[in-house]
Amino acid sequence: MTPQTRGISRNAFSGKVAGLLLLLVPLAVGLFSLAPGLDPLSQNLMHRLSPPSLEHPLGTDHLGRCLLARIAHGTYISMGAALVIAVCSAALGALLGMIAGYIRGAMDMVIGRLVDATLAFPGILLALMLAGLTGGGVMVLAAALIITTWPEYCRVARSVSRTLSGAPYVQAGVLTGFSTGFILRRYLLSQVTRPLLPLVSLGVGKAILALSSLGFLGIGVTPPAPEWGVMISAGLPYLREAPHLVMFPSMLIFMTVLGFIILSGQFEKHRTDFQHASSAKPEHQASA
Amino acid sequence: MNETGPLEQNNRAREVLGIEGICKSYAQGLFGRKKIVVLKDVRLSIEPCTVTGLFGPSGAGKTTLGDIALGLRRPDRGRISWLGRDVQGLSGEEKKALRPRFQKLFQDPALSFAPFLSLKQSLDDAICFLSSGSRSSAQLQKRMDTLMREMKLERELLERTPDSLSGGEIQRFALIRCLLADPVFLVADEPTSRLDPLVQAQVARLIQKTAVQKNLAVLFISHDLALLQALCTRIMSLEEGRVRLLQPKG
Amino acid sequence: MLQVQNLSIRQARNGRAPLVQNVSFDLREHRCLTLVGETGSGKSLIARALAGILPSGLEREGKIKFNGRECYGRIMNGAAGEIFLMPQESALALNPSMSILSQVAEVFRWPLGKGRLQSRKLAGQTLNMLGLFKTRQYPHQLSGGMCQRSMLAMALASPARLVIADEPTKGLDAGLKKDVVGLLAGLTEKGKAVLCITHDFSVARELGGLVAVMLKGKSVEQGPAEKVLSRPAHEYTRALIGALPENGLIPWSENPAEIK
Repeated sequence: MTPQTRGISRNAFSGKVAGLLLLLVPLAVGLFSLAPGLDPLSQNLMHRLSPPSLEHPLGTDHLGRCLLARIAHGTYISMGAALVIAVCSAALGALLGMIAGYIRGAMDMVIGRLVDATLAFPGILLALMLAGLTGGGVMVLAAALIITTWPEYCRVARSVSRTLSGAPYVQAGVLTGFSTGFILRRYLLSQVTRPLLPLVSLGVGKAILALSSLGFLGIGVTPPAPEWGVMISAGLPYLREAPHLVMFPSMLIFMTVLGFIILSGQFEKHRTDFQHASSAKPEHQASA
Repeated sequence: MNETGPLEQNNRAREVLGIEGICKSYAQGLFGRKKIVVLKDVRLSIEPCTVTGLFGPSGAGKTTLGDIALGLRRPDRGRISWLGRDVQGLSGEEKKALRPRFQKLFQDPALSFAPFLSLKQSLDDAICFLSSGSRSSAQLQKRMDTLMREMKLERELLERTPDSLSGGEIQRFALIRCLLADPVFLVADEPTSRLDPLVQAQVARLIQKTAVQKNLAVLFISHDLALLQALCTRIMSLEEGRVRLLQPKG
Repeated sequence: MLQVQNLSIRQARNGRAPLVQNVSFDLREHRCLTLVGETGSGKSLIARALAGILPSGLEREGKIKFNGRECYGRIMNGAAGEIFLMPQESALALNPSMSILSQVAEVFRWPLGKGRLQSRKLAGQTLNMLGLFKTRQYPHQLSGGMCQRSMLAMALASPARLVIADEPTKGLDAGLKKDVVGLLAGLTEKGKAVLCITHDFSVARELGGLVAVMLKGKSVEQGPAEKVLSRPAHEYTRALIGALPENGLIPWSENPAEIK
């Protein structure tokens, strides 16, 4: 191993550690929700807007609810929903992309137009519309976000599948009589997942932001439920007296999104390193 | 065209695969206005037990012709016949049964097998899809072992991924994969052009021997005329979209 | 002009056998030397060592003398500008965003210090001489053989006295192969020395001059091309010659690794 490659691997290591450490914070906060006596909904109007104390480590909000309890329970909603949204969206995009790229023909046309149409449609508007029609809720919001974000994954999956469909080993499979489903699963899926992984990680971060902004706007998650964006918007009127109401959830959103973005960069790096290592094989190593 | 006429007539009886009047062109340019004609009314008949050479400069459309013969690509016009019957006219069942019996050896050894699977996994997939009523997967497994012994490949190689094998070893494994399907027609698309000369001789002679032993019709594509002369019973040349007989030997 | 004595190339901090072991040869002006060997025999490494672009992590030992002066270090101090390397796959080595005329003109303009217009004129002449008339084309518009010829035009134009061609016939069909080898032979008539690296014995035969056969990092046989081809001394050389299609395409059953 040359000095340069060693440097790369050390960077990759520290990057992964940084990303994971950042993600540990919201996860640790989330664990507090399991602690007894921390109820996100129990109000105590005697202790409104109190600063952090031993009893309430992060202070209380305008209705005297424990902020730590609310943030902890909010982790499930914000992070959980974001993960589900990103993974579902990637799965949908990958499936359609693989079909479009491998089978081509009419399927490619239909899926391609669908991608174009979705990309041209404003996501926020769709979320607002759906919320207006159904009365909102996390599920509706998630559906809206999945519908607007899959094309990104679809395009990547399609271009990878298209290139691979001409690869000798895929053609050999066709000649041997492999079914289309088997080729998609065995040969294309693993190759499509590799470039999608950094996108998914980035997608989680984006979904958290989208959920929070929509929560802040008042659609999506309905107020008593503890969601980070909703908490920020609820705390905004009290910014002067109790800045911690806005500060703590904002910090968590920031750290979580940053964590996912750093992880995404690491996935991307791992992928290019891998490609580099497998494509550029100098002669003196090939012989060994 | 004229000189091949009578010869074609004589060989009709032995022909396993007939290529008749194939035309193929590609659209090029920004709006697909420019049309590049690759094959013009190509006629070719392929016999079992022999190696037919297809010679032509790079970019002449040799690979396209091979892929059309295999049914991997659709021609614009013309028909492919198997034992005198149009392949398009076969029933679905017959087509499915015939599919694995047309096989191909690829130019690039590095990509002949999925780079992320071990050879054992790749070959097991093939065995899984090839086994049917008449041939159990155990029989095919046995067949593979015999072939590997014949080609002097050690079992230990099966556990590796393609990037840790030499080009010659991979091409031999690729030939085994083709033979497992009990093929009638094999297109060898420059299978030795990325190999060193010693290995090239080994692989090329192996393909030749296999054709005779397994009663296989081989279409050997190459841009190396000397190689084809050493290997083939008949050499056709493809130039500017037309095929003509270059060398009938013996 | 070029003397190589006991050249060894090994991986740094690694106890394993060197990748190139004690290779010596002597190359004079107007002469050419062909290094013949299979993938992994170390022939490309020798080219890279001579051009001073050995991959990082590899070290060279032994003496390389250029015009009687010994060259030290990885970057061949003392021979800069005197050696021209034609890399493998010249289609990739040419600058895709410049026409071949401009690329050849650069050689006249910078190492030779000619004027802008004059260098373009000279470049045009050189390309025409090699049979390239559409000189404003870009590398992607050219075939492999034409790219190879543009590269040769640069070699011809450059003041370098040693031209190293790494697999100049790779991926070319028979006709083009002959042309390129003929042009390489032409370089020696212009007073340059040519070091040609190939795995194809027919190139050595066409080119003439000296041949060195490489096997696993060692040079197993050296001599004039005619002699090596007609009376090969080493078993491996015999096998290589016999395996050529025009010599009967004789397969060699034994593993080359078993020969010492």
